[in-house]
Amino acid sequence: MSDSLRESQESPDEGDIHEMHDPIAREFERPEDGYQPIPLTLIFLFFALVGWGGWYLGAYSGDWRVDVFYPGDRATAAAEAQKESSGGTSPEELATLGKRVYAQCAACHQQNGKGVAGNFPPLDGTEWVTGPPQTLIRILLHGLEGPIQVAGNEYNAQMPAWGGQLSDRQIAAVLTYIRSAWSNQAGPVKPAQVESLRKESADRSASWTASELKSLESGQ
Amino acid sequence: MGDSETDLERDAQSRKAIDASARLPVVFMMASGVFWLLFGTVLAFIASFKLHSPWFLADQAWLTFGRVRPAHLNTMIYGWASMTGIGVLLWLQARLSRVRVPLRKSLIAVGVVWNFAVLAGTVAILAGGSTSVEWLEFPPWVAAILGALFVVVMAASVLTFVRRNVEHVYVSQWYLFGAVFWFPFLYIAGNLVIHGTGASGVAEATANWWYAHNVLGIWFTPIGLAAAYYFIPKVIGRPIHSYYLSLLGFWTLALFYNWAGTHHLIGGPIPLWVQTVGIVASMMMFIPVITVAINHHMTMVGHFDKLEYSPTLRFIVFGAMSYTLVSVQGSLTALRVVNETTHFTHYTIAHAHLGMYAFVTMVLFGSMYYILPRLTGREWSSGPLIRAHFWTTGLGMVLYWVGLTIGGWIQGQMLKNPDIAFIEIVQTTLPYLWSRSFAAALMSVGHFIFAYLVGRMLYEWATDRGKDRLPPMLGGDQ
Repeated sequence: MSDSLRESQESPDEGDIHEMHDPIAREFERPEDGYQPIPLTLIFLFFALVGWGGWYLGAYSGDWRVDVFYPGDRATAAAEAQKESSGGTSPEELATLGKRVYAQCAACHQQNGKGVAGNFPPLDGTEWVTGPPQTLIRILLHGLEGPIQVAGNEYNAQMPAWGGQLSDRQIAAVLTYIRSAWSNQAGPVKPAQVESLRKESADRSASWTASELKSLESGQ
Repeated sequence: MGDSETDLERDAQSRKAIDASARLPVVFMMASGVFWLLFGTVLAFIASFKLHSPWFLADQAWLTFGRVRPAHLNTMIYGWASMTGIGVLLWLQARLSRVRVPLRKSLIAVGVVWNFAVLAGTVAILAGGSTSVEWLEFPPWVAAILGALFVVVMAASVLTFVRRNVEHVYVSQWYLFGAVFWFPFLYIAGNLVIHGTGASGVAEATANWWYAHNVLGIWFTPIGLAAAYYFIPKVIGRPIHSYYLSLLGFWTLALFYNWAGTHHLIGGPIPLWVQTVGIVASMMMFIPVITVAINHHMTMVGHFDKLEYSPTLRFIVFGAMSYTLVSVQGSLTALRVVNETTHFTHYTIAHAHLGMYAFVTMVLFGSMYYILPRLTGREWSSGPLIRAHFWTTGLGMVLYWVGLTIGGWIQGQMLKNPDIAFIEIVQTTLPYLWSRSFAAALMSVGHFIFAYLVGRMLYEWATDRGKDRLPPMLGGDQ
């Protein structure tokens, strides 16, 4: 213990060897403050920074609304959303939009359209994608469940329904994209086709099965 | 404070009495801290290794990444850094207020219960009972215990300050007073709104990052800065450069830090203005940071040679410089143009460690090098080992930061390109993840060296040996 602190304490600077090795004695005093002024340049710099802060706050405030999430004003954000559901319908425009929408599909079917063996079927080089667009539209609108043969392999998983989240134009766009991406070379899908099938199956809530779709296909 | 020898004598006697009162609670807190440092280090290494070698310890559920990683974070935050930080805080406030540490028995009880709470929380996380809220993974009942303990620490520190025997309140005391007021409030409020019904969904994410960012900002940062403001002038024996800069630095930190947390949610589905407020507050942090950096640097100028002799000064100056670096990096990372690349990448992990390790942990090491010999009356047993501790942890941290910052930036650039498959990005980051594990190994070596030094000192103290050893680094005050 350091209870052996000697009676005669000397200044830390001139302590003898005994003083030196008691750490409590070997100390400078409690720290003190100096009083140098703050440099004027620094004050100007800080004012400039605060000015920038005020400008930035105003420029990116989103009108202080709770429903604006991205830089750029509300009108632009709304127009963007509008454009996605009611923009041009040329195959090129649809394929461009479709590539963007496909980001949501890529989690399972992958960016390269090859899927994941045993779990998620490929979209590249299969009749299901390049065949009649009606089948594809139905799958997108209501989903698909149960066993299905794709490119020679059997899959059995649940494809979710996207009818509630994607507009007619977005569905037409993503289908146009996957039908023309990778090695696929099938024709575009029109938003009007999606619209009519959506109306036709408005009452349906269950997912399709592969056999149902096959029988519908042969009936057409 | 006085000029005559009797004044100096009286000062030394009063320091002796204060240190005697701080001895048990502070040593207990720090020893516990070192235990959790080792515990957290092992978890850190396991988590880091899994990132490049996923087969490693993969067949035990409780050792999977999703559990080991939050267990690492929580033992380091609430075990190592908080317990050691409380030790430093209690000692500093007592020394600066020139009064004995009050509520000593309660504080020892706090330390004991604290260890059990952290242990229980960690076991809960490893057993799969994490709350999945980052930085608040301990189950709510553990959080309730820790919250109550924080209040006792707060009471002890405030009581010390209120009873102070010096007229002039030194800048470190402002920071300590701020920390003990802000953090218990933050911890309790954060737990209540997140685990209660106060915030859900998007509001929960906002509250989560308000909390997580402020753990560093208004708990560890004020403790770290208080220590740096104390030890730099204390060790080199000259006044702090400017009282006015101290004032400006403290109040701008108090004003801006609390708002900065939402920069973690840039690009997320929270109102634009909430993100913008976080960005602006982060940029405003330049003011306290530059102010503190100038104040510390101008105090040090002409005394850098002392770094060679004093382990305290070495670690503290490393920590203070890292504070500047991590804060500047943090402000710039909050800008949208930078954030859109760095968000969700290893860059953020490097940044977090620059704050919690290169700044906070290094400052805590430095403080312990000063405080423990005074509490135990024993000198550190080996200069070479202290140097080894400094270089393994210092170099390890630099390597860690450089590797993950570069790797994270590349990862971010690739993530922004939708044509690159995810697996390709993962493979690209592999060499950087290996560099992180290598750095982790270096730092681990440093931690075990440090634990040995502390353990040996405490052993000699407990068995009444080693009183005659001279300070390991000659050349004056350590």
